[in-house]
Amino acid sequence: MRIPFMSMFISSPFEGLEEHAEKVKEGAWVFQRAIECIIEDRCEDFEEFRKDIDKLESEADAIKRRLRGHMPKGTLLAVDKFQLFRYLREQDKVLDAVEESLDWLSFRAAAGIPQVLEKDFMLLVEAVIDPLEELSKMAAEAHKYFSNFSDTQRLVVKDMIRTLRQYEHEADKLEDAVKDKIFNTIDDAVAVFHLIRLTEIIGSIADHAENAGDMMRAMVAK
Amino acid sequence: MEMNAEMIVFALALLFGFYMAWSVGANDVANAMGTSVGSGALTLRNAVILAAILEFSGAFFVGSHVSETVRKGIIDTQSFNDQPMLLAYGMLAAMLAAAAWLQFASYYGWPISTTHSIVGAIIGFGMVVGGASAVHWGKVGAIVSSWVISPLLSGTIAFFLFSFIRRKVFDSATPVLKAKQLTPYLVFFVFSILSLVMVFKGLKNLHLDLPLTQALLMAAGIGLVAAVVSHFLLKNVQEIPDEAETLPPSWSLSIGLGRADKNLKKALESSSADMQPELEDILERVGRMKAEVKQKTDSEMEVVSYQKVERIFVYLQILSAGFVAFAHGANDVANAIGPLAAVINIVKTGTVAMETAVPTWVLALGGTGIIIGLATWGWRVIETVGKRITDLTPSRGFSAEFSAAVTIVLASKLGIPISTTHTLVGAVLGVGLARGLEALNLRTVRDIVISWVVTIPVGAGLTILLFYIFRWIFE
Repeated sequence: MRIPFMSMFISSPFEGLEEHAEKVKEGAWVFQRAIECIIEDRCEDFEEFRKDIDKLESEADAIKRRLRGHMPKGTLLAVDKFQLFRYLREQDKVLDAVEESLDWLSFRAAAGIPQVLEKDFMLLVEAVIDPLEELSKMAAEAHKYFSNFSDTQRLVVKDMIRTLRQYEHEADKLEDAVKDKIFNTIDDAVAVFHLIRLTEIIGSIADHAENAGDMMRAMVAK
Repeated sequence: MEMNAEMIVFALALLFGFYMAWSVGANDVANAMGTSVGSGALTLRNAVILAAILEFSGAFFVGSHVSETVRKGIIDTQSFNDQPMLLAYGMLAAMLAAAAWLQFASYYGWPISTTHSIVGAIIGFGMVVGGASAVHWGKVGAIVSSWVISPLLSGTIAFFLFSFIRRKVFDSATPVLKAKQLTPYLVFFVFSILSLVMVFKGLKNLHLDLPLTQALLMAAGIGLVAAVVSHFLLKNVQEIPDEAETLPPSWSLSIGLGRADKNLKKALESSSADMQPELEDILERVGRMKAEVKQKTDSEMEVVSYQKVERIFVYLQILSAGFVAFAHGANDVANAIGPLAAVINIVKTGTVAMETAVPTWVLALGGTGIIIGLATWGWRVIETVGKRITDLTPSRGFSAEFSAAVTIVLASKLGIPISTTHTLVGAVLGVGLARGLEALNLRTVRDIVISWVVTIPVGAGLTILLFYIFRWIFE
């Protein structure tokens, strides 16, 4: 068949973005349970959770590669291709950061998180989960926007980006508070180093989510 | 012996001409109907029936303009006055060469155009046999430049048309209402333009070719009637989604929670003091849930209303698809019957004098060939296109098809053979640039440009080769 008309159409990358965001959200939930597990005294499933995250991360990577690979040079998109890839990279980094934080924790799994800091870490983790949930909602709404370009839908997406920023700000404040408390309550230098670094990695999860939101803001700009 | 050769040439011309018509019907009708099947606007069966009727009508009623050009506009037939049969062999060779090249390209899926093949073939023959002076270079220049201009034109129209629809309908807070308001105007344009084409020196075969002012008046009248009818038909479309069919699943959940909330409040009023804290707690939880579900429902309702808009555009898309089928029949039938009519004329009169018009029965033959092509192979292509291209929703499909149809019809009126496929590709691109499509592969454009460059030399070369073979056989 000689149908030039047909070869013009390629599958939309926004579907893939949504799928990728979904993996990030799943990762967020596993992450939360893993941290809860560490905080409980006898955590036996931690390694399981880590494996789950590894699996999710590689699945997300596969989606990312698929998206990049199926974007021929002459693809006309409603958004700048670079913006799309930058967005995807940031969204992917979220999961990388989740994975890294569990890896980092595992290096001193026996020591775990000191009792005085348990509550603070729980709060911090909760604070970084919020933006991730918002991120996956935003990806779904953005997909809708890119299929109908309605102005009301654009406002919905913009609204979510704003919420995302707020969440990140909250997480930032908590991160600072946790760091402050670590320096003031822990004396062991190795533990301080481990915990400070852990706090930073967890904090960076929200940062990447916010960056993804910023890229989305550029993508939905008129 | 001489008589026999002429009869064989005649028979072969019929065969090749029919084959070209078949090829047009088999491959190119999908352009008009494929996306309507893909968007669910038409079932495959209805699409094939509609296409068959309109392709035939286009070919039969308006097809003669372009056929005349292909028959005698590209090369100067007078230079073959001394040896009319040479021209007959040439046209025969051109048809076979174009058909073979099409078959070959179809096998590999190359985006070449039926029109370009046949025009290239005729130019090649004219140049080699009649010399460079035998080719009407002015006309050829116009034809070739139209190949570049037609996709650009259809793309530009599609860009502005879809941008307009997007701004007016999709960006508005009440898309369904806006779509209902806009549709009669669009219907007016579609019908007016279509009727203008038909009656303004178009329906020669029905002796219905009116001068411009009369044609304009009549077209406007028909458009107005159609618009008014569409206005009343649209009254049935409700802005609030009707039950069952389109309501999001969370809708009933939201209503149920609302009722629970109300009943709980009643229960709270008549409850004893010791039960109140617990009831308040439940009430608060229900309230939270209600708010959550409402948010979800709202966003789903948004989607529902866009589906509704697209359902209105379904009718416009069917209209524009029919328009494309008609225009396509009018323009592309010439590829088959232009050369065929030339051969018939020579065999019948023994001269190249071409004062007589293309015979009606030849136009009918071309139209029939297109229908048979559609029935035997074309429906499969339509099905394939329909399955693969689902991104082109009715509003997008309408914009692209309408723009392509206007461009094709314009070219048909001017007697210029253009590629309907390439014109449609231009129109789809226009919609894409107006941010109507999520992703498009621009490589197709590159492939089409390559096909422009390749098709003419290949068609010409093959024709020349076949011409010498025919002459050797018959003389």
